[in-house]
Amino acid sequence: MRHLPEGTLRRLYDEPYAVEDAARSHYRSCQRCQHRFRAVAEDARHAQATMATTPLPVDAHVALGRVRSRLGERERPRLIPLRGLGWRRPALAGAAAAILAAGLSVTAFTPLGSDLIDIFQPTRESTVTIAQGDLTGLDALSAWGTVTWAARPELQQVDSAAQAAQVSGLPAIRVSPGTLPATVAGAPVSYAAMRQATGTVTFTSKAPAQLQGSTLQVRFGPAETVVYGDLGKVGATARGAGTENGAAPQSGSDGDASQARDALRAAGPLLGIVVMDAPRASSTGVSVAQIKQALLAQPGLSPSVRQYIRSLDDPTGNLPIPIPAGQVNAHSVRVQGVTGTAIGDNTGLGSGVVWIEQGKVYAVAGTLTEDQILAIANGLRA
Amino acid sequence: MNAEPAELRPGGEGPAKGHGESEPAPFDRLFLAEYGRVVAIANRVLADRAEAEDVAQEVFIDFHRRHRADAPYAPAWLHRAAVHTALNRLRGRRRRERRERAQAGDHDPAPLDPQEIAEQRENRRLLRAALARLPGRAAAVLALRYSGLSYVEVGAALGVSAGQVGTRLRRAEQALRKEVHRATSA
Repeated sequence: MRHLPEGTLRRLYDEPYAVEDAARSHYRSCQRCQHRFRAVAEDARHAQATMATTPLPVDAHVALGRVRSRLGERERPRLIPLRGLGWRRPALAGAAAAILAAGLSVTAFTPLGSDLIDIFQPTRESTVTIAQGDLTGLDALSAWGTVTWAARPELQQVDSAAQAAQVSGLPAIRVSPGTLPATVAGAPVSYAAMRQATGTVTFTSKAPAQLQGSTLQVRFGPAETVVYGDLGKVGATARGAGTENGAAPQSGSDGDASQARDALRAAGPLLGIVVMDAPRASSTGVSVAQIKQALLAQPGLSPSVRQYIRSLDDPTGNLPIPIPAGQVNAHSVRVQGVTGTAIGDNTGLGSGVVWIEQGKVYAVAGTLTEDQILAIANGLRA
Repeated sequence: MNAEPAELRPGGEGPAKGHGESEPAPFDRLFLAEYGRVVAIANRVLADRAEAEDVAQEVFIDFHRRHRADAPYAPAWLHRAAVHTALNRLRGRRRRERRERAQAGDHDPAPLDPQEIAEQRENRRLLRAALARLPGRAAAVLALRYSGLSYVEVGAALGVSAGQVGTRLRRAEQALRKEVHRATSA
């Protein structure tokens, strides 16, 4: 093989895996190309240092408002209905769904009246491994209850952290700029907030006898989020990978998961921060123990789902976080002076940390290393 | 909990604007997705936040008037327009002088050491001067690549293959080094 062209050596410096195998193989065995590469790399490093600028946080929503105004078009409120999260799925309509949703999603339950008792108000988080496809066994539970919403969960896209705080009533999320890697600091920033939503699960005659007639009253949020990243690209690549609506691939195959990972990798740096009131549940009489007993009595539940259900606890217990089997690892970490759970993708694609402190659940996750995520989490003020 | 950021995906249940309840306006999606990068490209050339945002907004308005927001070439068009508009501004003498005066840097945490401040300003001035002297396509490939675009994205913006980007980048970096060396040794 001929020696590698300068352009190939230059790309080898930036995107080694984009260079053909044959070229990489030649490089490994060719001292002359390795020598030339050193000169290429030196010029690249010089250019990198020369071209460096201060990371530039921008507020795309504010800028969009300015551009819209210059274009003479009227802004409309940006409301984001929480469809696609599973709220409308019948499978989540029953008691199991109400509890599982507490672990799977942004949830908060509080007493609505004197006849209600708190049955779920976790103060710590834990992880439970669930294989993809295991949850399909819960579909039969959808007939157990019906959900009615007094106020639906609805994310509202806003222009700043301050506006998010105004909507949610929570303190504004403040990220310490020094903790953001340059790749993230320069990315577009999106803000959203959710007011508290209230729903009631009523157990029907199709539910087990001990649950029939009882109701669970649920409150979701308030919550607020900050997302750093190119969301348009994430959307496009996720759609390309067949992960519409951000859901896990339905077939649950390794190929789909691999596609989703590739899509996420291609989407560039991404960081999401969520702060919400910790989940709480209230009931007119049914207890967590009764619901767990009814759920565990159902045939056909996978061992992982059984473990998940068992991990649900009485008030001040665990907030179980389901993690995909085989693809994610989790371990305890110290964050903001308390114990939290760090969750990492085994491929090194991304990581996150979740902790509960003074009645609030915090989550920081992104396509960064665990050290970077922890630095951001520890610098967080909210 | 991780579901919320996904809900913000412009491709998902994004902002309802103009085209019905659940369908976000394509221009808004494009803007939110690309604005940060367009500003970053312009800032890489201009090193001036206000002017970089001004360039970015000008580029988006221009695009809005000329093209469909869902055009497949939209991101590449915006990136190319951003770098060329920024380079044109850089080359305007009056603007450059004003910008360099303004580069006392209210957006940078200023070091306390006056010597350091002076060196920082001088380095910036040298880089802008070097970029302004480079051939247009060399300056463009540097600004695009060092704004974080991949080789494929740089190639799309410049209308060349990803393979050619490496060659252009290599030549541009050599030229930049010579220009900076010439300026510092003069």
